[in-house]
Amino acid sequence: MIEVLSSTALATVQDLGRFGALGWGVSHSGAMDRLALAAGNILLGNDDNSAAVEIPIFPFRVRFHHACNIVLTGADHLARLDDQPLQPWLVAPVQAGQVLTVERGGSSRWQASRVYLCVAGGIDVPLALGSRSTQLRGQFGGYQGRTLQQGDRLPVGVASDVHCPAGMGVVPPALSMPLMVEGTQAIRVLWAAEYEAFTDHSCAEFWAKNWKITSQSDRYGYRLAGPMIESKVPLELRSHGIVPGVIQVPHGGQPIIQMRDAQPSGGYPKIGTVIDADLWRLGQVQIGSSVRFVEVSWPEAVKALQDVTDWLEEVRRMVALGRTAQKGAGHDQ
Amino acid sequence: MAHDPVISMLGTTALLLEAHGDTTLATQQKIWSLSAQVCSWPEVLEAVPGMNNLMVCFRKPPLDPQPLITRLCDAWRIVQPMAVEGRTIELPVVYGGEAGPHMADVMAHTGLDAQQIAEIHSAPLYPVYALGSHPGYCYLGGMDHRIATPRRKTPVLKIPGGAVSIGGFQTGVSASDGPSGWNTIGSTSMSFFDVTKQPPTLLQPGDSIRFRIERVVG
Amino acid sequence: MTNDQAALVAGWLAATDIALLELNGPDGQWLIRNEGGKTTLTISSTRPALAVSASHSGVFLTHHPLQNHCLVQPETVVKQGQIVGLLQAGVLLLPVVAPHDGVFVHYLSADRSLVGYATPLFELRPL
Repeated sequence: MIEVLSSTALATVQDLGRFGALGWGVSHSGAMDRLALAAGNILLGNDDNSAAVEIPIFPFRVRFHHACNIVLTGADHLARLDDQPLQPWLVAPVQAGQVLTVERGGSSRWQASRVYLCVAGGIDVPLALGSRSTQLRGQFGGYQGRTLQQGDRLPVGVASDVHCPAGMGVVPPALSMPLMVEGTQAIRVLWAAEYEAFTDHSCAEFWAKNWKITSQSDRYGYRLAGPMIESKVPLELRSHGIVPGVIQVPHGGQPIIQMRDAQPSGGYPKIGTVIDADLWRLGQVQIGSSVRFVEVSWPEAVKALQDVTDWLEEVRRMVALGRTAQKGAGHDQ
Repeated sequence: MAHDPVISMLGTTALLLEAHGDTTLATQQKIWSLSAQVCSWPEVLEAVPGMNNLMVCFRKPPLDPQPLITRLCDAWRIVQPMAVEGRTIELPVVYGGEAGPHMADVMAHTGLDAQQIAEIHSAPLYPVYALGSHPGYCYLGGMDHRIATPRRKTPVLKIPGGAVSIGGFQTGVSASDGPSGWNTIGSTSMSFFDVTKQPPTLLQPGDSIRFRIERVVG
Repeated sequence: MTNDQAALVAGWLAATDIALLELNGPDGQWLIRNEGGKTTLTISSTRPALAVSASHSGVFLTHHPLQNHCLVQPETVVKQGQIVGLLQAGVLLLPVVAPHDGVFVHYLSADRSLVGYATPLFELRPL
C-alpha cells in the first residue's frame, strides 16, 4: 500500500486507457506518455497495461507501507528515496516505511512535464469499464474517480515473480527517438477533414510558426497560442467522433489539441491530427514551451507508429536479456 | 442512388464517414445499423455513431486504408435502417436566468424572447441520435432551426451537469460538470450515467427526451 | 574505529567547543571539523584502492543519460550496491555498483567508452 503524503493536486492513476466505451460518451483517458508507462511496466515485470501514478505537479510525496520494486519513468525531476537521490528510468528496491519525494527541477537533458511512478504489481484500483484509468469527467475509474489527495492509500497488486534487478533501466525514448526542428520539439501531423477549408495563409502559418502551449492546457486538451488560423468561410459542423490528437480550431482562431481526457465527440473544424505515434511526446511538453508541427503523409504516420511499437518490443527483448545478464553477474538483489 | 459518403481520417486512429443531406431520423437509423455491422469487422476496434456520421476506430492502422473505405461505402449503399423501439423520458427544465447564462446570446442571435425560445425548444419529442461529449451525454435530433445558434467563439471551461444547451442546429443536456462550447439556455436534474450499471447510460440511441417548461426566468 | 563510531563521535563533538579532531587507526584516518555545532566528517582510508571491472561489455556511462553530472564525485563515500556507473547496450542500461562500502577514487574508463568484460571501470578504496 502506498500512502499519499503531499497535498499536490492533479496526480491520477492511469493505465494505457479505456477502449470500447466511446459510444457511451466515455473518452479513452490513460497515460499522457504511454511509452513511459509501458516501459516502466516492462522493467518491473508487469503487464504493459498495469496502472501507475501520473504526476504532473510537484512536489509529490508518498510513503511505501510494504517493500516493493519501483521505477520512475517519464520526465526527469529531482527524486529521492528518504534522503538518497533516486535515478529516473532505473529500477529501485524500496523498503517498507521509505518516503519518495519528487520535486520540480534538476538539470535534465530532457525538459518534460510528467513523471510516472510505476510499482511492481501495479496500482490495484478496481477496473471500471475495463480500465483502471481515472475518468475525471465521469468521476469513476482510478482512485475514487478523482485526482489523488493527501491521505489516500493506494492498493498495490501482487508483483510477478519475474526477476527485477536493482538499477536496471532503459534509455528514455526522448533520447532514442528525438524529434526536433530548429531546436523546437517537433510534432507530426496529418491533415484533417477541414484542412482545405482554412485560408492558404493560415495553413502556411500553421506549419511554419512555433505554437506555445498555454497555461490553459491539461489532460483534456492543450490550448495553443500563435498566429490566427482562419477558415475561408465560417464552418458549423455536426457533432462527430474525435480522438486524442485532433487539432480543432474554434472561431477564436487559436487551435486546441485534444488530449487523453478529451471528449469523444466535437464539432469545431479540424485542421489536422497529431499522429498517434507522437502523442507521448506532446503529453510531455511543458506548459509555456513551444512545438512545431510537421506535415506527414499516411504511410509516414503508419511507419512512425510502427517505430514506436518496435521501440517497445526492443525494450522488452533487451530487458529480458538484462535480467539474465544480471543473474549471471551475481548482482542479484 | 444515394451520394457516396465523405470519408476523412482522424490521425491513424480512426476514420470518419459523413453521410450526405440533412440530419434525419431515417439517416440516423442507417448510421446505427452500419455501426452495429462494422463493429463485427476484425479490423475495427469500435464504431461510434455521431450526428449524420460514424467514426470507425482501427485496431491497427491499415497500411492502405482504401480497401476498408471501399468496403464501408459499399456497406453504406445497401444498409437497412435500424428501427429502435425506444422509451421516452420527460425532463422538467428551468429556462433562462442563472440556469441559462447564454439565453441572452441565443435571444440576440435569433431575435426571439426567452419565452418563445423555451416554447420552441420544448415543443418537439427529441430522439436520441447519438451519445458522446462525456459519459451519458445525448445528442438529440429534431431541434427547430429557428433557435439554432452558433457554438461559442471560445469554449466555456465549466458548465454544470443538467445544463440544457444549443450548439449550431443541435441541442442536448450535460450529464456532468465540464467544459462546453455550446450555449446554455436552461437546466434540468437527472442522472444520465451510472458506471455500475450495464449499460452505464440512462439513454441509448433510439430513446427519446421530452422537455417540459418548469419555469422561464427573464 | 569504524565509520559508524566516527559518526557517533562527530555527534558528540557538536556539543563541545572542540574545533578539530583527528582520529588515526590502522585502516585510515577520520577528520572531524566542528564549526559552531555543525560537524563535518572526512574519511580517508590508507588501505589500497581496488579497481572494479566490467562484468559485461557495453558503453560505459559515468552519468545518467538524462543528466550532465557524474553519478558519483571523486573522494566521496559510497555504500555497497550504490550505482557508480551504467553500462549501456542499445536501449538497455545495466548498473555498475560498488561491491562494498568505500571511498570512490575516480573513474578508470572514460564516459561513453566501449568496454569489454573485465575492463577496469573505477577505483574504490575500502574503508
